[in-house]
Amino acid sequence: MKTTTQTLFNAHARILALLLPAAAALHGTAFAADYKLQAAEPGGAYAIDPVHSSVQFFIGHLGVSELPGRFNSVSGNFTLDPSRPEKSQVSLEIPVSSLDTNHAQRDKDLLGPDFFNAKQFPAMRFVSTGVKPRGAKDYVVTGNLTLHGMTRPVTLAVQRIGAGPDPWGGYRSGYIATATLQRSDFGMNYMLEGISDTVKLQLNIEATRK
Amino acid sequence: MISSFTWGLLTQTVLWPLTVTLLGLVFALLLRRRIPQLTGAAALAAGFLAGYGLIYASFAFPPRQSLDWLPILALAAWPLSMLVRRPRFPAWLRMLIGATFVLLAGALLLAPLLPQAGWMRAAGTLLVIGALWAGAWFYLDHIAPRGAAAGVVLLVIAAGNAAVAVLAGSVMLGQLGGAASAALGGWLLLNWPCPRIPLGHAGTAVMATALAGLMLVGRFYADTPVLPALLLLAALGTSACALFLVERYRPESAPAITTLWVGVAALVPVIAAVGLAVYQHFSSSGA
Repeated sequence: MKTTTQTLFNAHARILALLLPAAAALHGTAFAADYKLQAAEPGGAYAIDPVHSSVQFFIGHLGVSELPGRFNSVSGNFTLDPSRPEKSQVSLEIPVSSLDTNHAQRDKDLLGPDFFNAKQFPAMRFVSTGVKPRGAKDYVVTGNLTLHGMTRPVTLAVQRIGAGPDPWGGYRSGYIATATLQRSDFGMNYMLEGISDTVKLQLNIEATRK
Repeated sequence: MISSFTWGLLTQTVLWPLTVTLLGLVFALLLRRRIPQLTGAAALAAGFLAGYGLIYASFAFPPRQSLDWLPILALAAWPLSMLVRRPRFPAWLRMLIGATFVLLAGALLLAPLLPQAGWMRAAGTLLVIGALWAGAWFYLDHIAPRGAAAGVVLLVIAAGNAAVAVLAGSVMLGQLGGAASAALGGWLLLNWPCPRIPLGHAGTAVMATALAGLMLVGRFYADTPVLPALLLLAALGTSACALFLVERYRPESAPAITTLWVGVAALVPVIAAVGLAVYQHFSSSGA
């Protein structure tokens, strides 16, 4: 004679037997929707999405390390014409006051007259003067960077990450751009003995097509 | 053992300004009979500018940043102070020219920021700065012939300003304040207790302009807190009170004793300013 407990156990077992294959099927579906890069056509006019873009920099400290920092805001536009890349254009603006090195006192020092002098020079700007393709997904973007009140030519090595539709009906493309510059070229000469002249920049850009 | 990095900072901030000032003063002692009013100012200006050149290292002409104006204004104050001391300049005209100079200097130093402030606020700020700066200059110019008093007051305020600047977030302005202190310290080494090469009106004008410029840049470009800056200025008031009291109640005091009292009186608000800056520094950094 079956007890009430055994009856309940058998019922649960039957439910589990039904749910487990369903869960496994769903799990398989989740694997099927795993993250992958989109490789659609990247051409068009874009506005940079500041929420999904960032600017990081790395600067040598005392000859023993490379300190990371970032600018939390970046805005700008670009147009990309894959058939005629040389016609492409890029313009970026970064508010210097969005600097963040994870140390408030150091940020204040960097934003003061010792380095960025942000009160007088509140933004840095990059405007491209030429775009050349280098392989299928890479570009060399030359342009003028205005920083600390001085404008100097800078070359960005740009790698396209992906492009394609987003879930909200828009269209996006993303890039990583790197550059190396000498801060002394921009009149930032203070404490070159302890803080390196060479600064590495990395821009992670995501943009929405207009 | 001092690291090469620290040694470099000390050399720029202290050793070069001090050495250049001392060399200038020794040279001045040899030339004193020929140009007595110029040599002290020249030695001090050379000492401070040696430090400025090594620390700032970005001087541009035409000036691009406020700190580019500093040597130009300090050197311009020198002939101006000599000019207005000519007998044909009455006191009111001397003060008018001085006030015009400090207003112009303030406007040049703050020029990049004034358009952001709106003209009413900019005019008000400039007038307050002009009044404080002119008052400080006229007072120091007034006591310049009295022994080493002006030099000691300037030294105490310059050293305090250097400490406040470093704590408030600008090591460079701190170093520049240190260079001004070192130049004034070098002058004092050879001129204590009685000046052999007086600071004079020219030397006072040069160093007061340099110091005022540093304080202004610190306040408006590096966000030096207001209260420590006001306490540094209060040192002028306390030193004036001490000078008045000593001259009134102890007129027989030796000049060195008078200068000592003036220096101690200036030191009190400066110590308070540095103490407050230390407190604010550690409060903001959460240490």
